[in-house]
Amino acid sequence: MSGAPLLSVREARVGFFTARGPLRAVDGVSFDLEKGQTLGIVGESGSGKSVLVRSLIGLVGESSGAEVGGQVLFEGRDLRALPAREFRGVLGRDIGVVFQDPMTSLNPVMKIGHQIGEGLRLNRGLDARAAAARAVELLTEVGIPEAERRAGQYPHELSGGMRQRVAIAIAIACAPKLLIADEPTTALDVTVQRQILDLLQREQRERGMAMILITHDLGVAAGRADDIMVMYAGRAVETAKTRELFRSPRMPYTEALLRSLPRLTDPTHTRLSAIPGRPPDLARRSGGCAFAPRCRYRTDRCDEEQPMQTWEGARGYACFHPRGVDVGGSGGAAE
Amino acid sequence: MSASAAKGAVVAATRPRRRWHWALALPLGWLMLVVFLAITADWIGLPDPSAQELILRRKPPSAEYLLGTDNLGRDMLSRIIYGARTSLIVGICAPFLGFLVGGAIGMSAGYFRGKIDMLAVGFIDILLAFPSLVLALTFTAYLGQSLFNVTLALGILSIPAAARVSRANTLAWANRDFVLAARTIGASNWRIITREILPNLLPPMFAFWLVAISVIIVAEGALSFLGLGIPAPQPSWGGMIADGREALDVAPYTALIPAAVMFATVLSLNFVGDMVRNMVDPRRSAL
Ligand SMILES: Nc1ncnc2c1ncn2[C@@H]1O[C@H](COP(=O)(O)OP(=O)(O)OP(=O)(O)O)[C@@H](O)[C@H]1O
Ligand code: SF4
Ligand SMILES: [Mg+2]
Repeated sequence: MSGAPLLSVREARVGFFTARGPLRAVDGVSFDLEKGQTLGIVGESGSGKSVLVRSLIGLVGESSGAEVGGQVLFEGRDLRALPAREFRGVLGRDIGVVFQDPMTSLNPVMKIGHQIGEGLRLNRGLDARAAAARAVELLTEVGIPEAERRAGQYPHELSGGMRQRVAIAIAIACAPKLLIADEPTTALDVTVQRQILDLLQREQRERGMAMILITHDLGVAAGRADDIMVMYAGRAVETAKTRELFRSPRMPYTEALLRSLPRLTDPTHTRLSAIPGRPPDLARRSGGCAFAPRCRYRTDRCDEEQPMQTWEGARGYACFHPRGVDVGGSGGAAE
Repeated sequence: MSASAAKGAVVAATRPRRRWHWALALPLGWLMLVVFLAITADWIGLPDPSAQELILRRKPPSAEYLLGTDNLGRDMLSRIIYGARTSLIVGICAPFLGFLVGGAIGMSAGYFRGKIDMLAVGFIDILLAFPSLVLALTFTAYLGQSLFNVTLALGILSIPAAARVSRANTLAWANRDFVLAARTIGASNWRIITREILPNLLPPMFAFWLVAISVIIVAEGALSFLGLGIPAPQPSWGGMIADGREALDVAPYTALIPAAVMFATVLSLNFVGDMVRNMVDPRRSAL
């Protein structure tokens, strides 16, 4: 890739203080995202995907009782060092966010046309009439029929799938350079999940946006993401080009995730191998590899030492015994 | 089939329910009557509520005096209706005042959390620590009895409750995704509070306000009963009950009628307030 990445995250860290003690929800995650590319972030529930991206855009931070560390560069600018006003400008103009549940991500007492136009009035200086007209265009663009009439309705008058389309319209209204979609289909009917993902992908391509697509389904990320970052217990355990990740996973957790995917070639009713065991309790972390209790390649070293991220070019993994590699001594800690 | 039935149930449960209960016709009708009479009191040919006719004192209800006359021979019906005006002015304005101040305090506390929240909660607790009636009594005794001062005193008393209701509701709304979504389109705190949270706060605040009106009407009655409410010639329900107390043995209706009217009004307000609260319960409307 050439030039500076659109988004560059270094050693992102988020800690919460809970009744059960301090908890590291995100622990030293780094990644780059180039213009127009899609990064899939994959991991089980509770692995820290939402907290990570929310901390990048200031939705999780000191004001919500969290301790945030690391560096976030957007177009080379340090987002965390920006004054509040400028930060709001970047957030409003250049970054769009689609949340998981369209039942809660729309304001119940505001007409949807108004909600879509709000960002345009705020960030692009459109007057009320121009914003309303643009809102109708956007509704049409995201595939809502009778956009004119729908713009005057309230969220409860729309189905879940339509609401998510509205949420997407809100997110792309100001033509952002980066779209963050946090499990945008988890709360939806299976039948509309695909439509929403296709819509996101189409918008992303046509507008040349970069996208962070969060999902706990590796299959969803497979066809849509250029790169995939697998998260486990708050850490990025494997980062790779999608094709490479699928062809030869390095980290045993990725391997296990892949094995639990249904394949077209499988005979029907093949039992998928779910990963045995449960993710660790983040408030009671031991010193070793977080995946060790569930790992079939575990050794004593795994219990004692935390594997550091190892990079082979743009490809990274955190494991002492990576798959598909002549281990030799290369599995050691980086720097 | 069971799947589609379950889905129907989910849809029904997530829609805010606005069901009309016929049983509410009575309290609503009563409240409308009270408000209507209080507004039109000057134009419906009522005798002067302060005109004394000592020869006609303590007349039981009759065709001429529908609700009888009081200790000083004043027409009870007229006094009840003009008293309704007093009670409603105090009952509506005092909580409104309290809600303006308390609502702002509660919203700031619930939205900004942290130090602001601690300060606000401390302030609320201090206000609550004062015995409320004593505070109101001191206030009117010190500043003088007038409709304005009584309203002000009772308004201050309603600040803590209003602050608590708005703080709790703000806490519940402030972490909703749509508030976060508003931040992601670059909205400022002020805009989020006024445009995203406040509109959602109004329904529960309105429901609570209805109940607060009834509480304030009773409190005003208590102040007047103790002789520190609305000053004498102006009729008020509490004052009427206090006056009627002297003649409880010979003319009990002089105290019982205003008491019954106050009771019916307060009860109606509570019924209607409960209904509104059920309608706007955030747990019911999952939106
Ligand atoms: N405000 C908070 N206070 C304390 N702990 C929190 C808070 N928010 C999140 N966590 C914890 O941080 C961890 C990561 O949560 P996060 O929501 O990022 O997971 P996720 O990967 O997005 O999962 P899901 O797929 O369920 O959305 C969880 O263990 C969660 O309990
Ligand atoms: S470091 Fe050890 S326990 Fe952790 S994933 Fe690799 S092999 Fe498994
Ligand atoms: Mg999540």
